Amino acid sequence: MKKDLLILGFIVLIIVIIVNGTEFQTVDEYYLTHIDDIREDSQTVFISINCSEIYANWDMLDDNIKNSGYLPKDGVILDKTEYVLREGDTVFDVLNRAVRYNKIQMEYQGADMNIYNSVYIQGINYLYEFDCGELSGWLYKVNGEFPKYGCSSYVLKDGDIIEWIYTCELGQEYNLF
Amino acid sequence: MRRILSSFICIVILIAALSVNVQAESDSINKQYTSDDFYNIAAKIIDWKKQEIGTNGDYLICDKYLEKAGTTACDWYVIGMARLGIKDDYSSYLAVVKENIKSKYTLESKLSKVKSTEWHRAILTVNACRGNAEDLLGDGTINLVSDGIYNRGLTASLGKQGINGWIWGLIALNNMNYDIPENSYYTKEDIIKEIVSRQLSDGGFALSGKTGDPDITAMAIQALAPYYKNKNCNYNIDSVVDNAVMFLSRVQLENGGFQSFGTRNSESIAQVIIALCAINIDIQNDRRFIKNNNTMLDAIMSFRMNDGGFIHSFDYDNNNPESQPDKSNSMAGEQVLLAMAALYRYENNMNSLYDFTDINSNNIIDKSELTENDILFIHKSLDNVTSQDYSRAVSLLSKANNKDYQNRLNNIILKSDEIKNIIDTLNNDIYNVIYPLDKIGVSQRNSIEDLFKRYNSLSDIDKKYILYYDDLVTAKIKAESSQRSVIIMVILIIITIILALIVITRIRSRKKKNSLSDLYPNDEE
Repeated sequence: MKKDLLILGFIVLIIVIIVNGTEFQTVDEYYLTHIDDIREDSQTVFISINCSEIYANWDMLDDNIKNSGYLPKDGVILDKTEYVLREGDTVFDVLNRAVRYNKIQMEYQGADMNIYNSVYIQGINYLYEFDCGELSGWLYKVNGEFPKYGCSSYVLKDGDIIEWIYTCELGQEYNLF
Repeated sequence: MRRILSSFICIVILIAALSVNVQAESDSINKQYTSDDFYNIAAKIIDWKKQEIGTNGDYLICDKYLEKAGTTACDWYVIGMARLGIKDDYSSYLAVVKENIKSKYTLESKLSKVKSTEWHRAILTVNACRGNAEDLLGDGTINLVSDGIYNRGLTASLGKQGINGWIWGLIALNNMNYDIPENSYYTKEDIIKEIVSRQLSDGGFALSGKTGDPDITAMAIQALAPYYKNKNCNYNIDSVVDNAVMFLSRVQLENGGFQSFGTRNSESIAQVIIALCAINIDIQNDRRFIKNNNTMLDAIMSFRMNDGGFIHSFDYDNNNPESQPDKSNSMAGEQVLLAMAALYRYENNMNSLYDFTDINSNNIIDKSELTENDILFIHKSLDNVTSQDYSRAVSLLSKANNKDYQNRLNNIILKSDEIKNIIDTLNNDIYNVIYPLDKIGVSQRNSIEDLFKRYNSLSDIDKKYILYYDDLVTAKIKAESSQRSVIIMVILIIITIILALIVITRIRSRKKKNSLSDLYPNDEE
């Protein structure tokens, strides 16, 4: 009788394990595959990508883009999303991770290919600089302000809010070529 | 005797005091720089740049530099050096730039979808290296001047990126005094008109807004300079330039410098120097550009660091603790280099910085003599070729005149190109297979295994070009552990079933026993 109860207990335990879908991993494996999990003590940042400004400047938008079918109706390419902040992460690192994880197209110029010594974002979601007038392009804000530095030079801290915005009224930045 | 002596001493003291005074006065006015000074400042910038990229050879254009040939990060240094007559390996640079442009021309966007300035920089670079921008490959297939300037409008507006496109289009057109054929999309007047029409009421020019910006104003002057006070043409731009010069004089700061977007910086000064040299203004002595006894040179030299390089600005950005205002910076160095070249040419009564009609090949070093190292490279086994060998092979091919060497180099170039394609495809496939990472399961195991095999077949050097290897490892672990989980689950389910069966049989047998003992209750006692 006691033995039966023991076995039954065992069965229940196994069923619980199966139902919970427990993973079987070593500690290293667990660390690697769960690096981006948000826990209570995780440091995180928020990122969003938005191109709604083009709707206010629709006349200036390149016809090819209008008909491309890639434009989100409300201009939201990526809604405000929380990501784990890894040690030394720059704005570019988080953007690059966010677009990869969400399979959003992006094209950029590497830091060693230009004179700014920083990565330069040319296009996101098939929307490129100058597609909406000569002052259009991708800019980013951190906590509501436009930093003066390239996105791969800006190191983030816990709680930072990054907004990538497609603007049609550039002029903040150096635009030598 | 005593009186004579004392009056003599008095006079000596007086003279000494006077001369000290005179010296102090001339110091406070400003130091007069000579063409040698400009050349030396420029040479130190090149030394700094060499140190930055990690070469200790005689020339800046080395294998490492050639890997990025044709980008903004490299082209302007080459242009600056060429205009100072500094000897370097321009022919290698030209060979690689040509090859890069040739391969970009296979794309629909060619050099750029929207930025005509990509062509303009290419024109200046090719010409600085004594190439031919109108017939890049010598077979009539690529005309950068047509595609990037007067017929650019057939693809996209020359000014799609804004005023920069018009300004640099004109600078590149002036570069070799190119003629625009009849029936072209733009005439020279069209381009000049576009620039002139963008002058603001304060006399300046800007990317946007109603206030002039010193950098853009300076560049507009650089573009219009050949037509300023020029009796041979009648574009009537004299007053446009005069007003722009007045604007610059007005916004010059008390320390002799300029600010752009609220930041005092070295590049703005550099651009203004290039502009004023192009219209023959002596920036060291013209009173319009001396403020509080400070010239632009006083201001620009304050951005110079001990290593010979220059910095962008002293302003520290509180938002960005990583900003290093005291570290020499490549953009600042490059633009000061161009300003020094402009001043050097001004002092020596040479053509202005961007007027290349006087260019010759004197500064191009003869590297047709292959070194031992080069010959080793040429003979390397094709199995050891990596994607990095491309630019070196291209540059050596431009020098080798031995048939065997040429064949070997062509094979290296082909192989290296092939590897580049393999890397690109692999990067693409990794991207398509592993994202989103949280959806990775057993079904992707084989394709991930295949990606890994392809990754491992690359050389260590080429592996560095695989962008998301870390994620690939994560995906592999995920796929493996989910496979492992499936196996363990199956085993657990089997065990559960067996255990359940055991329990059931035991219960049954006990029931049997119980019913037997009910029948024979006395047995147990």
